[in-house]
Amino acid sequence: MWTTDMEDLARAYQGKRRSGSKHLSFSIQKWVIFAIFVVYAVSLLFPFLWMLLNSFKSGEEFMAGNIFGWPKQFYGLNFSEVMTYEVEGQTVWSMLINSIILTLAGTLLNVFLSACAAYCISKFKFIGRKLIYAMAIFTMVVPIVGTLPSEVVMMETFHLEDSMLGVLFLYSGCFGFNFLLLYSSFNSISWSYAEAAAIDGAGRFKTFFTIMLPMAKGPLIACAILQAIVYWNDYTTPFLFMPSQMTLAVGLQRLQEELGGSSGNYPMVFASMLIALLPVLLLYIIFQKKIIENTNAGGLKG
Amino acid sequence: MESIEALNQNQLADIEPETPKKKHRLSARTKDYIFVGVMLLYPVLQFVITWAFVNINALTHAFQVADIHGNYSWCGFDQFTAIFDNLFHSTLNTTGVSWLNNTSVILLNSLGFAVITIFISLPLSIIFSYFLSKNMPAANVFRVIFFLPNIIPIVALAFAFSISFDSTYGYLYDFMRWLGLKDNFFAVWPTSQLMVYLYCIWAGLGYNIILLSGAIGRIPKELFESAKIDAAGYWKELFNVVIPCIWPTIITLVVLGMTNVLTLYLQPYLLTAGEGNTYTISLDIFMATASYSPSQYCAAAAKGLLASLLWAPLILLVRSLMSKKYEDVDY
Repeated sequence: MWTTDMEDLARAYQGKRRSGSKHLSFSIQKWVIFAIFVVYAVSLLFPFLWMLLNSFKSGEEFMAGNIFGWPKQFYGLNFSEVMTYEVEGQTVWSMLINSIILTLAGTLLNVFLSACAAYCISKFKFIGRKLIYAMAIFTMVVPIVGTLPSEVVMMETFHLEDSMLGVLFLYSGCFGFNFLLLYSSFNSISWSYAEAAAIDGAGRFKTFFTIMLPMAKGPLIACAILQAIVYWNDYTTPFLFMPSQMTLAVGLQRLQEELGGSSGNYPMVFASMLIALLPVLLLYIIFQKKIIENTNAGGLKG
Repeated sequence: MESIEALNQNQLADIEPETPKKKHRLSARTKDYIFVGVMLLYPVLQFVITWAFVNINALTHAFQVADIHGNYSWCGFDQFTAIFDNLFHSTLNTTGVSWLNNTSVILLNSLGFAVITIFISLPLSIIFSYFLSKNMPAANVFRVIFFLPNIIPIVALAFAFSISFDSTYGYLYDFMRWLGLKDNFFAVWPTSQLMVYLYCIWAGLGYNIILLSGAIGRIPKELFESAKIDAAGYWKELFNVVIPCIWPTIITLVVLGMTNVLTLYLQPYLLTAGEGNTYTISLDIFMATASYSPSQYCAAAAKGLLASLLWAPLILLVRSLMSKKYEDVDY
C-alpha cells in the first residue's frame, strides 16, 4: 500500500516537473499576449486621455507647442466656449439639443413599435404572421446597396426631407434586431398571465400595457440602451435627411474642419468631442454588462 | 304555444333590455384581430412602404438617366456599360500605379476590406478572445476597453485616430516616419488606404472579441478538460477544440467581413474626406446621394445593384462552403 502511494507520488512529481517546464513556456506565451493586450488597450484609451488633458489648455498654449505636457495654466473655458460656437448658424448647444431630442424620441419610438410588432407576432396566430417574420429576417440578412439615393427621393416624395420628423420616420422602422430580441423575450413569457388577466376582465390592450410590457422590462431596457447609443452616434441618417439641423455626431465633423488645422483651436475641438462622448460613456459605464450581453445576442451592429 | 313563446320572448326582452346590443358584441377572435390590426398597422405600413418604394425606385433608377432637375428617362443598360467602360478604359489615374485607374482602385479598396477583416482582424480576434478566456489577468477590463470603439461616435474615433498621425500634434508621426512612410499619410494612395485599413483593424477588434468570447464561453467545460488531459498546448487547444466549436460564429464574422465590401464608407470618408483615392463602392454611392443631384442617383443605383448581384451570391457560396466543415458542431 505504502509503496504504491510512493510510486504514485513519484510519478506525480515527475509529471509535475515535466508539466512545470511546459507551464513556464505556457506562461511566457500568456504574458506576451498580456503585453500585447496592454499595448492595444493603451492605444484605445490614450488618444481620449490625451484629448481630455489638452481640453484644459488654452488654444494659445496648445498651439505654442505644449502638446504632451501638463497644462501650465488650467483653462476650463473651452467647454463653455465651444457650446456657443456657431457652425453654419448653429451653436453646439442646438446640436446637443437636437441629439437629445432625436435620441430620446427615436429610441422610444423604435423600441415601443418593435415591442408592439414582436408581441403580436409572438403571441397571436393570424394569416401573414410567418410572412412578416420571414421578411424581417430577409431584409436583415440580404444586403442591398445603392438604395441611399432612393431613400432621398422617397423622403422628398413624402415631403419629409430635411426634417427631424423625416429622420424619426426612418428610425421608426422596427423590424430589426430589437424586434427579434423582443420576439424571443415575449416567446418566453407564458400566455397564462394574459389568460388570467382576461378572466379578470382585462382587454388585450390593457394586458399588453399593464402586464406584458412590464414583464419584458429587462429586454426592453437593454434594447433601449443599445438603440440610444446607435442613434446618438448615428452619422448618416441625420447628415442626409436633416442637413440644416445638425446633431452633435454630424456637427463634430464640421467643428473639426473649422477649428482644426494650423490656424484653429484644437483644445476646443477636443472639448466638443468629449461632450459628445460623455453621455454614451456614462451609459456604457453603468450598463456595460447589459450592453456586452446584448451585443452577443446581436443587438449592436459594428 | 305560439303565444306562450311570444310572451316568453316579450318577457325576456323586458328582463334583458341589452339583448339586442349583445348581437353586436364582438367575438374574442374578432377582438384579437382588431388588436393585432391596430398594433401592426404602423410597423407593417412603414416597412412595406419604405421597403417597396426604396427598392423599386432603386431598381428603376438603375435603368434610367436623369437631368439635374430630376427628369428621368429610360436608358436600358447604359449605366451598366458605363461602369464597365470606366473600370477598364478610364484614363483618369491619380493613384500613381500604372495598372490602376480611379475607378478600378475603388473596387480594389472595397475588396481589400474583406481581405483585411477576414485574414487579419478575424484571426487576431480569435487569438485575443481565446487568451482572454484562459484566466488572463484583468480579462474583463480588457474586454470592456476593447469594446469601447463600438460606443464612441465614429467622428470622434476617426479624429482620435487621425490626430495621432498628424505631422504637428501626432505622437505616432515620428514612428511612421521611422517606418519609412512619407508625409501626409492620409493623402496619397496606397498609404492612405493602408491607414484606413489600419483604422478598421484597430477599431473593429472589440466587436469580434465580444461575439467570439460569447461563443468560447458556451463551449462545454469537459472539452477543455479532455484537452488538458491530453496535455495539449494553447495553440493545439485553440485549433483542435476552440475553433471547431466556435465555427458558426466564425462563419458569421466572415460573412460580416464580406459584406463590408458593399457597406463600408464612413471610415474612409471621415479619415480622408475621400482624398487619397480611398473611395469604396458604397462611399461612391454615399457621395452621389450627398450631392442631392438626381443626375448622379441613377449611376449610383446601377453600381449598387451590380455590386449586390455579383457579390451577394459569393457571400452565400462562401457561407455554405464554410458550413460544410465542422457540420455537427454548434454551441
